[in-house]
Amino acid sequence: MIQHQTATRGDGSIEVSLKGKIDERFEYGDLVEATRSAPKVVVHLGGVRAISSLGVRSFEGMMSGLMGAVAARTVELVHVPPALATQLAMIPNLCQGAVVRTAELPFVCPSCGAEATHEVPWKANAHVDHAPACECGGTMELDGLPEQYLPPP
Amino acid sequence: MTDATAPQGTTRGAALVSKHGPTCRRVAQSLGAAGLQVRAAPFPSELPIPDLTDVAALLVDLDVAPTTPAAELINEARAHYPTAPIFAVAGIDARARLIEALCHAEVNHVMPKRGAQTLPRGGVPLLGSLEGPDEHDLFAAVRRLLTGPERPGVAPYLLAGAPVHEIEVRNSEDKDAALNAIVSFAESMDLGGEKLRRVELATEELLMNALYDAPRNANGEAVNANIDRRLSVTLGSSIVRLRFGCDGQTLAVAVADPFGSLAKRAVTERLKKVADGLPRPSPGVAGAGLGLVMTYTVANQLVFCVVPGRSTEVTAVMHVAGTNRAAQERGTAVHFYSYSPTGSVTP
Repeated sequence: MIQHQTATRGDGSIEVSLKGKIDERFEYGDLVEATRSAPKVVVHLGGVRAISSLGVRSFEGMMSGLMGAVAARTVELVHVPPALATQLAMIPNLCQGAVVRTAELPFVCPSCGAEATHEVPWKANAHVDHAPACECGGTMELDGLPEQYLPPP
Repeated sequence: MTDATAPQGTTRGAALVSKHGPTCRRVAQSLGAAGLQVRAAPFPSELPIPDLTDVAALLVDLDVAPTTPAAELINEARAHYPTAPIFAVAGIDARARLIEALCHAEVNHVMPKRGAQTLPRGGVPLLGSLEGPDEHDLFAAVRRLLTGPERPGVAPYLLAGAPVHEIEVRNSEDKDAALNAIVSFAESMDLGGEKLRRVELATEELLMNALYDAPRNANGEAVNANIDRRLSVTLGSSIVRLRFGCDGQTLAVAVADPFGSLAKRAVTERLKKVADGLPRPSPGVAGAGLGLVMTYTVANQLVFCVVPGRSTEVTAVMHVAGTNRAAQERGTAVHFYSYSPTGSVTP
């Protein structure tokens, strides 16, 4: 079950935070309505732990609502979790023109095996350019195939 | 010592088209263990293989001619062995090539070589950097082909003795409970992050397919396909069975329904979207198309076993040992077994 919160910034933009699992039960109508007058919307997705195929359709509906509510406004996605990053990489039109800023991706240390989630810009090769340092002194590597989590070069 | 599945006095064999050393070795080991003697030819044009008559499987390594259409290689091999089940194997551009091969009417089994997806997008690997197909996966696939449908569920994909759990699902509420059960099972083994997500996603998509897309009435018409997925459904007297288990390295999930309505063409049409690139989720109520694609992307093997009009079982096999990346690098094998109601296998 997905939960959402909204908060208004001083500049009038609205932050939307989603938490939980996006599936067929995700009702986004209230969320879209709450952002109707905002000149800019920032969607925090770090709390989303999973998404089903029907959730992908719901997410597309939410994005369509957010993008279409006010002409030419900016919608940004931040802290995109692995579950959604894989869908954005596989379905390029899913975010419908929204700007994807950052993704929180799984990393693993090839030296000591430590695992960590690390935020990187959502762009090609970010897993190398922004690879985190491990506490053991090594450089962590993306724990997955880059083409499954990031856009193409 | 003879294999119980081989006729007395003969040795069943398999023909392999490959010139890739690691592939030849792995196939010989796996199929040899399964009771099939493997003989290889470097190109389809060099078939048939002398002294190989009772051919139970025909394996075609698409890397023998990476720029030749898969269908062309398969047709040439098929001409020499008209009835043997065909396995296509590939390492170069493996995902696209294997989906292309699976779309061929004669191909029901496709397997990536290990190491096939470790290169940058669009990169062409050197053959020397590739291993052959996974031995255990190939062994399980061939054994299942030889033994028929009497060993359903997840057991063929797990080490012998691994406990198998079974949950009956009759409605949407049961589906939620079953999903919670397998998530708890995975968490009890300390699976988290992407590994847990893969298990949960595959299970949910297979159950949703069995509840909404698979059910048919007595006339063979879809019953729940056009129902809004937010609405609960019940299957009446029909039962969907979720079976799952893990041997510490491999976790397998199987969902069986009593309808037998899944066609290979429906599977390949959806998987082809992976190769072609998904523009966006398709409109409409049903979500099975995207669900199948998502399951394909998280599974290391996707096994379809269909007795038309009687049963469908879809098994997702996921490697959970090692890193998430190691599992993803294995790629996804697809196997399609179709049996007549009398139990004989359709190649």
